[in-house]
Amino acid sequence: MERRVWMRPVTGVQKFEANEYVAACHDWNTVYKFTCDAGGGAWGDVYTQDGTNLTEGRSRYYHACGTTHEASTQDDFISGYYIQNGGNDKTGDWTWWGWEDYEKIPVIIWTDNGTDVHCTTNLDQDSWETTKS
Amino acid sequence: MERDKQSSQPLSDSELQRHPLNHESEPGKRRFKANPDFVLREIAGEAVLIPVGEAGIFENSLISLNDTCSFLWKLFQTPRTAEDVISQAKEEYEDPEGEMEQGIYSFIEDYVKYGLLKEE
Repeated sequence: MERRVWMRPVTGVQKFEANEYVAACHDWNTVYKFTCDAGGGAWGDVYTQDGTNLTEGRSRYYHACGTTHEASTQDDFISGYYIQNGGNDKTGDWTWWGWEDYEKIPVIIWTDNGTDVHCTTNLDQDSWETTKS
Repeated sequence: MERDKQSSQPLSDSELQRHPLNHESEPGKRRFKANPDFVLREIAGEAVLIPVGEAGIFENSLISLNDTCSFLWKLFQTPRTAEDVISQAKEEYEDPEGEMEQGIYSFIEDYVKYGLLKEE
């Protein structure tokens, strides 16, 4: 067998810099299909959890528009409740047996960047349908 | 302590270690084995060592071997002395420059130093 010619043993080491910057593919253009349905169309007021009335005022009230809006996933979605009070800003009333609070229906509120008040009774945000805008 | 040829005093451990007849300390008698945390693979026609366990200083590194390095690495997959490897290398390679033995000793020394070879 023909022998090979001896060469000096050479070991090469190439070091790589670990890339710690992970380019996360953020869904900037993903939107929720947000259906404004809380209350079924009955007039009322909408409050945040801390009691702030987002529809305060005699001329202001909320009612479900029934429209499915495209709400950016980057928008704020606020936990709160809807009270079917006709929009009179009252959270309850006196009855013959005393003061009684109106029913508070838990909702998630989307204000469309502070321009409106839309509410859904589907509190499971993970179940909301999404789409690309 | 001064000694003479007639001395019957036993040698200390350090003296025994340095004794010319003590072959255990000679590199030719010591056995070495390739570190199992590195495996040899051929990638795009090139022999490379891939760290598969504790990589130490070779973290995030690619270790490429030339033909003779690759040959030696394969031999050291089983524990061998330098003499074994030199003997095998002489069967495989011609050594016109007379550099083989020194090259193999240097290979062993460097690989042990960087943890690629371990002494058995």
